[in-house]
Amino acid sequence: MTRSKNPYTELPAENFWRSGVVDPGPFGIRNLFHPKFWISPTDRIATAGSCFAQRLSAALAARQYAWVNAEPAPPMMSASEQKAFNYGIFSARTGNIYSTGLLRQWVSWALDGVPANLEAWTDPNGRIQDPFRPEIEPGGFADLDEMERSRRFTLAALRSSFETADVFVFTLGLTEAWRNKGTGFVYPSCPGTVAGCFDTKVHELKNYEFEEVKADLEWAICRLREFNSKLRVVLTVSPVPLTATAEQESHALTANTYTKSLLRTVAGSLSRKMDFIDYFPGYEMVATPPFKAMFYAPNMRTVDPFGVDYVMEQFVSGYRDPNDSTPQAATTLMADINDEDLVCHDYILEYYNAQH
Amino acid sequence: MLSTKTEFFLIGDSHAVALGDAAREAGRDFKGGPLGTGRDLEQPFFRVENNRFVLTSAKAKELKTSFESLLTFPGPILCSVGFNAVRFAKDMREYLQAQGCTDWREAISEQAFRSCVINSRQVAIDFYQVLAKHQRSVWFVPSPQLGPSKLLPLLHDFETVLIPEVEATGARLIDVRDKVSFSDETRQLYERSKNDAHGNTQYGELVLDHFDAMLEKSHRSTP
Repeated sequence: MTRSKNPYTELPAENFWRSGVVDPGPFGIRNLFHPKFWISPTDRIATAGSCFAQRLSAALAARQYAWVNAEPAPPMMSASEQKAFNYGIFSARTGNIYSTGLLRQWVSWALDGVPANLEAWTDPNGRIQDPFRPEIEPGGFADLDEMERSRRFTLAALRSSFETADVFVFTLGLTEAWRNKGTGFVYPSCPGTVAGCFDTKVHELKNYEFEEVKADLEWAICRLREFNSKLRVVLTVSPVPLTATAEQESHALTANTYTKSLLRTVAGSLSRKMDFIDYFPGYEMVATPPFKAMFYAPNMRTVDPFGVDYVMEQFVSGYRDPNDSTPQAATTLMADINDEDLVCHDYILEYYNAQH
Repeated sequence: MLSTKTEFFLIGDSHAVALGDAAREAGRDFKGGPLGTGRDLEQPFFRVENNRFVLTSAKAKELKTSFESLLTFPGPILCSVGFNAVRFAKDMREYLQAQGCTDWREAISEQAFRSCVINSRQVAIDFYQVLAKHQRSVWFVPSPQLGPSKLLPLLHDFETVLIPEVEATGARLIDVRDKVSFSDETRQLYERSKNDAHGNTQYGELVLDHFDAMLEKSHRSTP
């Protein structure tokens, strides 16, 4: 008896769980995604999002991709200090943007201006913290003026990164966020954890619903596209589970499933809706059954370097135009020598020459 | 005119050239000399072996023996290590220009600026600490604050951070900056011909005169 023709009979192997996932094994999985556009090493890529996005920035830069560093560290700052001051982590020193509500807020402030008299937090030792990027400056800012100058500079850098980027990669992280009840402004972390003081009269938990997450993300992307009409957007979902849920009578595991499912659905929904938005399945490459949690550190949260490398290789090879040549490192030793040094060398030699 | 004949040990970057030239012209006894560009001395350039000061930079190979006695030299040490401020100022200005800023305060915080200075001169600070550990009598000279006048605010801010760091090691500051960078006229008087970032022999004399005056004062106050 022959089976009648139906929509499944014509589908390729990857459309079936056994032949697409089980038989090839995790590293044999092919055609996991079909990119809507190519990303060349010369395309300028801006990045933002949750902590997994930090790894993306570093990996793109290491692979000689034109990652947009719109707020670079001064060159004389050591690598460890650059990290401490949050340089080179995202395209601007925004810190982590975990929620779409926070992304909307940053996009709006960068493109449409910052509301007057945004709050600032004063530490017990008198240092000033920026509530919207509380870990950005080790130990806080010297005073309010310095904090506001720094925020203005970051917003200008963020605006510039959006203006000059060809591609914006945003990694969605959380649905839970903390807000100010009075102003509605969204914080990246709960006041009183990283900085500031928690006050139930002022601060509230917001666990965004699907419609809200989608509306905020869609607003942010459309505003960016209005600002930069050539911008293409890649959405990813962080495979890093949430550290904790603040929801009462919840559990970290179920809250994580809810969060990631919702974010994944929003990303999928928007990428289906708009042709300049693509979804990159980094989440699936780490957090789904065929990968058996192999890329997680023993804490079952941290994605280890092998996982990051694997995801990045898939990103780079998946989005690479087959006609693109492999990127080449552009620096040479000669580029490190400047005229001033040559002049100094020259007459130091002269000095010793004069002794003979 | 030099007021004392105390032999000293000179060590530093290209700014030490003017000091060595002036000392030579005055027939002054001194050891050492400049041992590299400021940039060379931003990288680790020495180690200590049984109280011997060993230059490790390949470029300084021929100078090795001239500096070996640095840590046991009984007289004062005159030093410009770490104060190649013009290079720092040029790099910072270039960075600021790329960011569309004129003042570093627009782009980075005070502690970030401080971190830039300390990071970039950590080897120099370590060097002064080694001299202190060996109980040497150390006198240091900041940069002559020459070079393009637009760099002056940065030169000043750089030294405002670095000078106290070096002083904290017990080294004493010889400060002639107000006499040199006071006006365009004084700047021209002290700058080296065809190299406006470095001082000339006259600048070297000015520093040595102050050095001697401070040495005398120091001797008088020592019981």
